[in-house]
Amino acid sequence: MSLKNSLRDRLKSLGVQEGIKKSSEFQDKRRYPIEKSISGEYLHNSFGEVFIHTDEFPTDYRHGNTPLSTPVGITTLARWAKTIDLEPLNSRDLVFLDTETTGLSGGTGTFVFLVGIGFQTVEGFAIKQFFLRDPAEESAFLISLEEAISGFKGLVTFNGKSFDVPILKTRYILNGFQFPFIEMNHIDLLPLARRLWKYRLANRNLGILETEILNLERSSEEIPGWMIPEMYIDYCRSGDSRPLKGVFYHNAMDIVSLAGLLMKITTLVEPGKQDDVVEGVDILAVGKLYESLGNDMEAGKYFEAAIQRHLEGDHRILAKKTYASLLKRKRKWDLAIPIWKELAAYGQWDAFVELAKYFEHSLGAFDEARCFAELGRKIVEKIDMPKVKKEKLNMDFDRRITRLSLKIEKKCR
Amino acid sequence: MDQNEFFEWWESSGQIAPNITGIRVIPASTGKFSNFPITLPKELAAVLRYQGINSLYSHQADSYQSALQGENLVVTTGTSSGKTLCYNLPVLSRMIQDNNSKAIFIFPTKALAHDQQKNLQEFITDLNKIAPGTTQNLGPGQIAVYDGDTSTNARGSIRNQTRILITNPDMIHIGILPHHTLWRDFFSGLDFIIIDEIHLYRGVFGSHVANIIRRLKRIARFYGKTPQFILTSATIFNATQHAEKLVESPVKPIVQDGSPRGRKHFILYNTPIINPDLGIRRSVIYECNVLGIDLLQNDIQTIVFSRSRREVEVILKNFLETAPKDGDRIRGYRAGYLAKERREIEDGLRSGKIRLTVSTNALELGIDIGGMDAIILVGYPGSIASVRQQAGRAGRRQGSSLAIFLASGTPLDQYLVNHPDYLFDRSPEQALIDPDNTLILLEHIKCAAFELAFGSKERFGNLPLEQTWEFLEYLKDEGYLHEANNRYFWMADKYPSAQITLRNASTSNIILRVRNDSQLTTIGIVDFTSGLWMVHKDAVYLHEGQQYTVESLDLDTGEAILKQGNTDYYTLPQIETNISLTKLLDNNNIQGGQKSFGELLVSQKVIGFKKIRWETQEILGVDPILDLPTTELQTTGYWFQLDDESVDSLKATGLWNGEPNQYGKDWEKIRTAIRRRDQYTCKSCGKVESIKQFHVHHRIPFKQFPDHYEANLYENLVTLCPVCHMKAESVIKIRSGLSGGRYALANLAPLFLMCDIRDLGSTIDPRCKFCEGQPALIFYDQVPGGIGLCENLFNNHDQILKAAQELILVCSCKDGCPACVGAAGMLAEGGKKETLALLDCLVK
Repeated sequence: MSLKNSLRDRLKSLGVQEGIKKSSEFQDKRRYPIEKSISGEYLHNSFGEVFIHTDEFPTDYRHGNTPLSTPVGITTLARWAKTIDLEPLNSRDLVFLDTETTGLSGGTGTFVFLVGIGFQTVEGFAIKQFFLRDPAEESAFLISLEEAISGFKGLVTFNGKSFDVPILKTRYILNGFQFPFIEMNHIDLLPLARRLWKYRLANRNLGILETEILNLERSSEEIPGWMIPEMYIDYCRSGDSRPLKGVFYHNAMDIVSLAGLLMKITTLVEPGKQDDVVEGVDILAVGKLYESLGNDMEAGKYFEAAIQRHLEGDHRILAKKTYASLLKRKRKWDLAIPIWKELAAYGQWDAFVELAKYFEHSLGAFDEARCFAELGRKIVEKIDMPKVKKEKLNMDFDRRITRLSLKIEKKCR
Repeated sequence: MDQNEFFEWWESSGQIAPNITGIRVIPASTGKFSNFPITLPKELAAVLRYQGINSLYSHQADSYQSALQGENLVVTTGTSSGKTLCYNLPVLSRMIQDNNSKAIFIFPTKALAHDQQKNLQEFITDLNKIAPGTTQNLGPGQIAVYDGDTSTNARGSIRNQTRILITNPDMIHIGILPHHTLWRDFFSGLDFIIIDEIHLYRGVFGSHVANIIRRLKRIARFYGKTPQFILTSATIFNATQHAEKLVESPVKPIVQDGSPRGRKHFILYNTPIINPDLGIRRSVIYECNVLGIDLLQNDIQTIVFSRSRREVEVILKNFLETAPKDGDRIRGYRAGYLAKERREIEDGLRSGKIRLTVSTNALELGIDIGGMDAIILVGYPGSIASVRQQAGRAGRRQGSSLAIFLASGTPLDQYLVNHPDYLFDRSPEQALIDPDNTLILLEHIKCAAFELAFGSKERFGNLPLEQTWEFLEYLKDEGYLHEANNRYFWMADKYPSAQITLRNASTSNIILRVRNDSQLTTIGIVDFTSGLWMVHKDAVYLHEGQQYTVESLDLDTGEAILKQGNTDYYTLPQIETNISLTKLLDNNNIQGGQKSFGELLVSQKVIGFKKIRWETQEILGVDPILDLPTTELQTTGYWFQLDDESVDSLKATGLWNGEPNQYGKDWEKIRTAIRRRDQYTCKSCGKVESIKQFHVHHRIPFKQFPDHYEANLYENLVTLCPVCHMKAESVIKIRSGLSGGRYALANLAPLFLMCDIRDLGSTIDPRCKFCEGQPALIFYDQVPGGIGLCENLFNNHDQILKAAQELILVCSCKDGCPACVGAAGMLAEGGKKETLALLDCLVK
């Protein structure tokens, strides 16, 4: 130990103050192995053993306001995620996954120490949590995870494309394995949730979605996410697993909420069910989702339904504009014109542009067209907008007006 | 008249010849050529022929053959000797044979990286054109630059597709190694690591780079690879040894330069004396203007190397004013110009369109600009290696070239210009590194553990097992690592590579924008720290010879707004440096005084600026600056102070000159009398005193007299304007023992510490505040937090002082030279005996 002390002394004399927490501060080495804190069993494979905690939720369990175990179709979802293989399947073919790590910065020095997976069963909903008892047992941990998910057709995560999957991939590579998830169809609900609820939720992280969409509160066992890395690192130093109970709870809740969210979304996006949707803005959002998937028919139904609801100012205008431009694309002028006229009455300059175009090109009614263009230009004059944009718009209007005037003149002659 | 005859005629002309103090003619060499090696793939040979290359220089062929045998190489042939082919051929040859083969090219600057990328892409385009189907997945798109400017979007495809990755040590350290799993495919094929200009990786920075290479090799090994190294270096004393220390493997030197060279004249040129009485010389800027314009008018393509960015602009401004018609053939080149502008100048140099260029050492590096007809070095660039590099820019394959060392009036330049052997024959400096520096190791072992768990029997690079283990155990105890199953795992929520500063350069920049009407145009960019003194509010900033005044400097947005327009003055910032003691860590009594080690705070602040008239150099006024932040370096230092006894004994022998002069109580009266005698006129330039009183100067320095009565005799006194006074003083300045000691130790310490001279700051203080007011010599690490250099000096105080004493004793110079206590001015004293006396007090 003399050598060791000499380095310590040397660094001290250089004014170095290291130390996050000294391992000597922890006295209870190995007194609380994980099985004493959390129920579970050890699974053996050719690389060693791994601790797994299992939980089951019966068929009548409601997560907040949502049942978890009913098999549902996932066609729209799969189409959105560009996972064609999953379109004909249902939610029983999916595995929900969430990881807990030793840090958020990523890189090869960040470990995954807990992976929770969830899936629907005949008896309800089950979760399995794989725990890395010691960093030295990572190979066994990764292999048993691979085995557990190998039977499923699709993977569901929340932000997994940027976080969970890359970080797992790093771990598999570091252990000299092929990465098992690479071929697996993956639905990341984060971007979809952002899209679906952007009109009514300013923040759409999992916690907010839980309270706002699933009507759920976590219990006092909950550990905030930012504390988790340090808790595992402490466990590695001390061998005391008791504080990790809360981490298992946190991870389990993330999994079931993920499943709950998927159930919510599949209900919400079920075709033709626009009238069952409670929130008007959600109908608009689903309509836009259908539009982006190229399903104009379904999108049209939803936009129409959204307009019927009493949406607030901006949303109402947005719904009308979106619907009108869909109608324009379908050349359904008879339906689009009244909406543009309504929008024009609200003082929307772009509606004037559309009307001017329609009257000029489709009807050849140059006088009316010029009239709309002139009104539109006046409105732009009054609105606050960046100078550059305003100049550009004015120029466009002026060009249109000049052209129309020429056409009128020509017609008169 | 051919070029050689011209140079000979020019050198012997009445205007030039009298100022030449030394000439060395380096004879032409016809070069040594080799046929293409038979092992060179025929497709590569075809591309070379297509590009007009029908044979290789011997060093290129040697490099190819040796690389083929799996040897690591360091190529140290001269500037523009075609070193690029020495590594490109082996790398491409391997890539043709193996579709999975990959290579990393490491360049010290972004400019070089992009230059090289362009080069390689052209080569590959030619290859695919001439011999289509030779290679798979090796097109211009597979040669990528990966640096701090690479967009996040581009990074993914670079990782997946690149065959030749062009990057820098910083990026490998922070961007690649900590995420090596993303680079699995790349590392799995990594056959070559090319490091260009390794002489730049010296000192603390070089020690970091050596550890980055250890980590790189370790990760490559993880993917089953032991890459081969091909390195290049400028001529330094210990290139091979340096290379081997950097990559920790045997490295074969490729020294014999087979490229043909024209004859080269290297001349030492002294600025003529304009006041023989006081020894004042003509300004180096003026002289440079004369020489530069003369060469321009004789159509000699010339680069002027100047020592500072400001001087570049001043010289450029003079050129443009003297030869306004040639404006488009004269350019400046330095840090701060936009990349686009620089590329344009490089192209102009290659094509020969630009005839006269003023540059900082920025053009010293290997950017391909072709050979010049002439080079002028304005003053000593700080190292022999730099002199060689810069002078090496002169030289054509055929025809003569000229390199001129133009000496300023400073003692150092004067010494060099009068001792031709020193510049011509002294071997260039060593590159020193200490990869096993405790603090540097500690940081990199953390990074390495983050990248890959350590085995308990694993050595880090060539570090002995025992020592590696010691660090791992330490990091385990401190809670960074977790040990299990004979392995040490990184177990902390930290990203260690982000916590190391590799270079002491500020990473943020200040953008320079010029207001034209309502629009702002970006003309340049400076780093944050330089921005504080270069573009403070009201500063006069020169860019491409144009004058601008800074309207405002916003440090939050990193933007300076400039206005174009001429002023009849330029500005000179006044920077105040202050060193204070934060914490004393150790101190001991020593022979003759006390030595200490502790934490120091070195702070610098721009407190004001002088306005100086262009024409006359007179100071028009001093304006304060109040709102600029202080730059602080919290570091560790070592210092020693003299006790009263030592000072008294030095005073008794007359060898103590650390005191300010006591001119005597009648000094004011004498001053007035002398000025009246000289009719209030500067006896050097003839200017007449106006508002501010002129100075009264001692022809023979005051310190050389036993008392003030003799020193103040009228015949020893003369009236001078402040500008001439400064010049006259520089000629006769007496070096004190303290200052000589500082010079000797500062030059010697890097050899003990295996660091670079710039890694260590030093100063003297005749009345040091934190040394009970005693005279002291202070050293500090130029690295935030310190890196252990001064601790080492503190522990080896006796040994280093003894070495300094010996160095000065054996030095054959009469009274000081750059190799011992520093050069003395022409009429001055070098302080050699004073320094020796001081060391005698301190060394047992």
